[in-house]
Amino acid sequence: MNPYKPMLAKIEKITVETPDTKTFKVVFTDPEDAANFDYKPGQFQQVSVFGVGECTFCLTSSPTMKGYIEFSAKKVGVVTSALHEAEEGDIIGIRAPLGNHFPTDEWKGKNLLFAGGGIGMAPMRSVLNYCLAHKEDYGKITVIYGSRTPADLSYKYEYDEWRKGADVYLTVDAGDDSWTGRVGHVPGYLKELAPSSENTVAVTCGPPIMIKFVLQELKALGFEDENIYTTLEMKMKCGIGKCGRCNIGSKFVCVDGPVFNYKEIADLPQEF
Amino acid sequence: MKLLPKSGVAGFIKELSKTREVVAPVSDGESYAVFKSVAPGETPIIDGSRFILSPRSWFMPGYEVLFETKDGEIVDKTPETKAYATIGLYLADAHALEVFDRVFLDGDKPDPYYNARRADNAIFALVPAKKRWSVFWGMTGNVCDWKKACDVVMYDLGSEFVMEPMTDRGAELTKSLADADDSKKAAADALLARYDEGEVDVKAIGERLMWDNPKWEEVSRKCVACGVCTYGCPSCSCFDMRDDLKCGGAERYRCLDSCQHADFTLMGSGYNPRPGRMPRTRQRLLHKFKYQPEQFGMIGCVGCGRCVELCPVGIDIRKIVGGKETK
Repeated sequence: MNPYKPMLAKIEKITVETPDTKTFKVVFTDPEDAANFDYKPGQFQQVSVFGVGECTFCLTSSPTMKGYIEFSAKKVGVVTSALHEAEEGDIIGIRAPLGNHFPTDEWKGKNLLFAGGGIGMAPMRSVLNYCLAHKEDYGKITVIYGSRTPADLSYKYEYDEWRKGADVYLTVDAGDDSWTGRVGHVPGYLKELAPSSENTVAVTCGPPIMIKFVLQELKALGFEDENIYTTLEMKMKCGIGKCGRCNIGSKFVCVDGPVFNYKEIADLPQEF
Repeated sequence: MKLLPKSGVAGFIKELSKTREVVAPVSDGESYAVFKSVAPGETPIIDGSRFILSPRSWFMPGYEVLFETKDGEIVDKTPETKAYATIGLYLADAHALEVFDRVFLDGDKPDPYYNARRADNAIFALVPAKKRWSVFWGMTGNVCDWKKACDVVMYDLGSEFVMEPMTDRGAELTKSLADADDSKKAAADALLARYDEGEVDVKAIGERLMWDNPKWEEVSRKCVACGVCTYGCPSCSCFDMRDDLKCGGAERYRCLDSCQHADFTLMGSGYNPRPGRMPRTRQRLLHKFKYQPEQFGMIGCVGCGRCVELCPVGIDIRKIVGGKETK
């Protein structure tokens, strides 16, 4: 098997999430690829726009959603710009699943707290939907999600579904005329809600500055480093631990990550 | 052990090329020798008299197409596995292939492109008669252990090579040669001993090269970020993958890349976790002397000295690793 060779996939649906982010629902064109494909929440993929290049995205869909996969792309560079020009029916390449995953088996019987910001919801959506689909395995599930403006909140069409199994708290940095919810940052909301750290695992993904202050609040609430999880981001090319880019200390984010807890992160050279 | 007079090298290669494609350093027309497949009648340079560029250029070419897309299909461009013999690489280069094997072949996703050139490749590695000023093999490992990376070790004794087979394949490929007597064997051992620098204390090196050592600023100050240290290195394996449009489709190719370049880790958001020459210099050193030993128990530098010779501003890795610039 050639690990550099992508599987072909068709873009079935494109959902505009925010002014700069789209979610792509894709299906493998080869029925054999589709039948053999399986993944765990937190794993990622390399997406090819042939002739343009390859780019790294987490699988934002959950393994419980069968028959297709999804990823969300914020338009920031060459490949993501090409993706934003793509249309439903276009063929792209997928190398997946890559990397490790959230230890959802270890979390069984625990409460789960998700604190996300902006596009950081993409990796958390996968594990959140997975845990909601296996709600009987977990205790109380809490979601705190924030973005710059109401328009920047992703996956709005799923919030009602999330609310059936989780307490969902939304906040924006700056509201608009239609926004009647909370205005403020995620760390402040976390402090205000003060969820218990008792038998609870926290997952946080978002902009580095948000993560920094979320961590402070989590520590204040008594969360231990090994019970706080995130996904690290580094530039990647090969996705299989060879090209050298995502190397941090003796770890490769693409193989040993992207999911790490803060006890593991504390042991790494702090350059990520 | 066997003997190969230098006058017999051309004939030996001719014989070898009947069963294997021979890869060896050939003059580039100027001062360097470059590894390539030896064409009939071409004379390889197997005596260490020239500056020989790393065999990496052959094992992992600077440009290699991974696949093409054509008519909506992906055409895999993995080369076919052939029988090769690589002759005239330094013993350190043979050891560098062991580092490459860990990177490219270990794990559940081995690299098929590298494997095609490596799977059936008889390695004839050279211990040059004269130790170049830049060479520091013994600082990075046990040179006697490195012999295990070879099928045949070739000791340059001036007018002849003592050929020491290390594998059955090596013995088979050298069986037509005359036997070496004890005095030649002793001379070969004495030659290798010149490269040996005793026990290497990997742990002490790792401690000296601490991530937060304030000396990194000083060490990296001269660096002009040209990346030649990594391009010349036989054990640097970092690469980039890029796309090009082709008539009727596209191709994805792999090309060399360097941790010394700013965009190596520059992300789409504009954030760069290694934003200057200091963290990038530190990454190159620590990757080889601390992270790779932690990963697979082997120092990633083989002491070939090419980065020492090629660096335009005279950064000498030996002084950094040896502690002269980091203590």
